[in-house]
Amino acid sequence: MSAGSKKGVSDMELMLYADGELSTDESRRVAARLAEDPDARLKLESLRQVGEAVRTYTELETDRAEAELPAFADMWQRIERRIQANGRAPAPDEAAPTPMRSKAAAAGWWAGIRRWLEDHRGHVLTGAFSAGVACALMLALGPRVRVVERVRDGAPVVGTPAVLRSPPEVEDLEVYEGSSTILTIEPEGSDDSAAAVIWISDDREAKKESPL
Amino acid sequence: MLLHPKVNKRLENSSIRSNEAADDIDDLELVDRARAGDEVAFRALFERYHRRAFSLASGVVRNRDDALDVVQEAFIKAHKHIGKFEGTSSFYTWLYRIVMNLAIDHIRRTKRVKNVDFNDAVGHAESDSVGEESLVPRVLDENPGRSLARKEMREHIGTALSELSDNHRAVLVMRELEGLSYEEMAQTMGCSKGTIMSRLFHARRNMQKRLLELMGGEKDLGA
Repeated sequence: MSAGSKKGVSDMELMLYADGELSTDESRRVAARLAEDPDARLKLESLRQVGEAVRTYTELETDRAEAELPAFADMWQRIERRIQANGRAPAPDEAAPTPMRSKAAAAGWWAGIRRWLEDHRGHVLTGAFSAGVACALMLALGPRVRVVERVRDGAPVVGTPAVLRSPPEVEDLEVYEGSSTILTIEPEGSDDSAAAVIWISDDREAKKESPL
Repeated sequence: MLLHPKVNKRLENSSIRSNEAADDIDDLELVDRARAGDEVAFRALFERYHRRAFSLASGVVRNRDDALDVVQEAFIKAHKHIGKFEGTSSFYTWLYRIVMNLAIDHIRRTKRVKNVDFNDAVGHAESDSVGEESLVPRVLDENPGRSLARKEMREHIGTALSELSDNHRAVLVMRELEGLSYEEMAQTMGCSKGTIMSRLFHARRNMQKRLLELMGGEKDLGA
């Protein structure tokens, strides 16, 4: 890069030196080169000037803000109000955002959702509890779902999980080099299908796949 | 001072007596007291650091109202989580991280489209490369710190700072105001040390060039 000076002190080295990011040995080496390199010394001085400008500028801006902005003087009061509001259930007039609170202060949409959830925790819990009760009632009182699917050849089971009035009849069978299980589901009405058969295992396949 | 009755009660029994200067109490003791519910102790921490926190925030977000919001949120957050402060770093180190996170969140949110400058894009891809850019071997004809009291000088520096990309400005302010190491800045900004080096290099160089343009003062030290 062209950043290096004639005596071999690169601009990056210069910056690391100014920021105290070099090791002791490296720092000594750069210092020695600087003594012989007026161009590098000039760059170093310019780095320091930039730093001083930033520091002094921000300090003066803080002085001005403190003198000119009423919000600066009131900052503690607002913080205190928020701390107190966080520490107890918010009264109706405190639930509204304080004048200082703006989109700038929010920590993103997720923080907004979290804040909303915190603010409405009671409502959310009540809603969740009500939904749970409603689901339980629907399961207990609603119409039964019937299993009418036939599963074969390891095809994936699809459809709605069933709730059965009576447990399926289960029968294990010994078959040649394997085993199977038959589940028979009682029909609920005269038009319903009677049973589903599920093959549980095939010993020959199991022996092939298992290293044991 | 607006105080909740509970806080007033605590004030009466506060461990910080009126004749006990808060300045004489070290941060960790104030933190311990604040953790135990002493609001006066927390306020002492606020009084000690809110200006510094504001300088940092305003340097990064470049808007006084937004900076106030950031500082306010930072102290509220610090109060809420003070139980998690373990004392392995100074209270202010912990606080400035909160301030910086909020300030960086703010600039990311509000200027998502703006300020993706070429230098920064290069810096992200090749974190420790500075390409063909180099520092300008020039100094300003006036000491910028001393002459900052002049209105136009302040405006020039404000303009130059505002024109930096958000990431460049954040790194420059952290470094110059807080003197953070590259490693600390990398942790705070969630990027590599090389990226910090690159951002800082370009920030300083761009700041220097812009200031020279605006102020028109160039002088070779070595000449």
